Amino acid sequence: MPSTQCAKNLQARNHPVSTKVSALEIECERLRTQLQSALKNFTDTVGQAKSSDLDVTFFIGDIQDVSEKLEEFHSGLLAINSKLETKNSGFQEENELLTYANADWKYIFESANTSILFLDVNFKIRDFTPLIRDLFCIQRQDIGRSIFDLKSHLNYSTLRADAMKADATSRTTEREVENATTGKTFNLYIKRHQTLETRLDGYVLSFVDITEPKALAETALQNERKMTQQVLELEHLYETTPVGLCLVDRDLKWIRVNESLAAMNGYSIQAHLGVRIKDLLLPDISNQASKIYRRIFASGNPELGLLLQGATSANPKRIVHSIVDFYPIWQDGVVFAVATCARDVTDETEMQKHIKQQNIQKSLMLAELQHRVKNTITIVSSISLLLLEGADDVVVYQERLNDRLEALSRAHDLLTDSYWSSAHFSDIISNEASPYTDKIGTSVRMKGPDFILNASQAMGSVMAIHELMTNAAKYGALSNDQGYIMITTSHTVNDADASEGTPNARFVWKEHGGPKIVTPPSHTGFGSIVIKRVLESDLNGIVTLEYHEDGLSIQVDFLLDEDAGHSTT
Amino acid sequence: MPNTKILIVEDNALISMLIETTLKSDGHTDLAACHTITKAMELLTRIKPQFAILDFNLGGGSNSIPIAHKLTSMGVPFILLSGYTEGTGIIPYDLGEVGRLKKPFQKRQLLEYTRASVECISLGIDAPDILNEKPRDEC
Repeated sequence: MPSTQCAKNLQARNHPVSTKVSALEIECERLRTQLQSALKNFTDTVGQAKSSDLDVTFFIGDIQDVSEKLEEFHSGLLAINSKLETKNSGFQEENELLTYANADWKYIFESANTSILFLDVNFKIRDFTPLIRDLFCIQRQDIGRSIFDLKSHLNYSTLRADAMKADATSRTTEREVENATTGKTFNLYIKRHQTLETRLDGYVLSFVDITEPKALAETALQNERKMTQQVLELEHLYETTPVGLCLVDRDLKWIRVNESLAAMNGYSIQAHLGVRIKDLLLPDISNQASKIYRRIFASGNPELGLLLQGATSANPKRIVHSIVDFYPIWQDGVVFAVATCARDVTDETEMQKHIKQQNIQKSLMLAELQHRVKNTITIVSSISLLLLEGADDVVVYQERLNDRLEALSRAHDLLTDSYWSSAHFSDIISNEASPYTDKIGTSVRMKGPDFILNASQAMGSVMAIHELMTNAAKYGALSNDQGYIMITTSHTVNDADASEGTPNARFVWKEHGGPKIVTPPSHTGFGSIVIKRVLESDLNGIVTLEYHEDGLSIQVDFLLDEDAGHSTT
Repeated sequence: MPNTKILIVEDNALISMLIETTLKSDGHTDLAACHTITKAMELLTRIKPQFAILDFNLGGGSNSIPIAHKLTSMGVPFILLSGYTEGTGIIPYDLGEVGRLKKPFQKRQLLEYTRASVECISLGIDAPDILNEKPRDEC
């Protein structure tokens, strides 16, 4: 209730009492005047009485009566007056309290943190709280003006209709309005204000700032939307992840299974739900899994990275290797389910096995390579030592050594081409004859089948043929224009007739047309020693070496290696 | 220096010749060289060498382990010659501690082994410790 109204009501209530008081005062004054005039009359009369004592005596008697009556009346007046004074002080006290209450009310109203506007029935402003100034351009002096005459910051045009609705329904009308300037949103409550006689007295408009709650509500809504989306995403992920996921209850029945796990087990998702593990999985993997599930239901501890192996109905012939994590799911202090996450690592396991094999293969190859390198270095060491025999010129020695190293290198090239498994005899001849290129086909002739030699045989052949060529070029058939070398190859024994280890291949090196040999050379030179020893040893051959007048003749009988060209030695 | 009967089993003629030449240069002329298991085993039925140098890898996937066992049973000291190092170790240890010489070997090393063995033989004692020492890795 506005303070001014309150004060007015108070005055209205005080009115009859104060009127009565002043009426009494006026009456009192009138009596006093009468009394004075009576006294004057009395004085006059006393003067006259002197003239008439008798009359006076009577008159005195009358006066005494009047005086008594007046005394009586006066004391009555005094009593009334004191009563009125008491009443008046009571009213004054009440009035003081009301003034205090009014001041308090005013103070509360002024400092109120809400926006409230009082309008009368004609929408004229009665009062407002200071915060209303944020919504309307309003001053204290605007009280009494129509609200529609004032500039408003609100986007609101239906005040009249809303107020009438509140009036008609006797209910608070609610409406959301926006401050166009600040962008703040308010809930406006319009309530009809009525007098004690339930007559419409005006409207109370209260504005509640809902900007923040509204923003919060919006954020909440957005969060909810986001959550829903995330749940959907998770759901999607659950269904599409290549990792097998499932939830198993205490009866070891599936509560939930995703597509990947269903596929791993070889059944549809639907076929899993409510079904016991042992009724669906093959015994081997079912036993492993059941044991783990029981353990986790008992302990309540997760177990991660366990390896499960076994076939499933998806492919009973394929042993699946899975890495599986088990997590207990708690509810009210009890493990009510176990969540499982299984990854099929069969391919990885196979790959690991393969890599392991490859690594073994690699280390074997490294060992083999090392063996060969060390062997080769030892051979070089040997050649360098053997060539020392009779060498007295370092330049010549170096040339001869280099010559053999080149032959060794060519042997390596030939073998490397075939992964150190084999070489063709004809290739070795062509290679070693290459320094005498113009003589290939004429001076170095070949007849017969080609042989496939194993690595060791090839190495020996290269070294021996190289020495033979060198000797022939120096002293034999290649030392003049007429000479030639005839190399004849042949298979000597049918495989079926051959006993174990019997030579089955032969090659004959025969020189023709070289300088006539009068006396066979000594066999102490490097070439001669190497030829015989190498052919005997590396080809495991039977070597027959003869010097005819026409030239050198060597026959080598040896056993071909059936595996040559198929595997490394 | 007594003329010791030494058996050499080496499938590569050039390496065999290197060993022979080295030993001869130190006065060992009574040498028997062969390049296969068959020939070595055949030889051991006829002669008892005082010392043997065996190439571990004899080609064609064969190795000299059978010969090593035979020599052990005969009480003949020997050393194994190999291009493998311990890292790529393929030499089995079921032979017990065996003297090993790595390819490419040094002339001095080969002769030390041989001399030590020969001295023990002349003194009539068992295989020398030097033969049981692991060779230093000389990678």
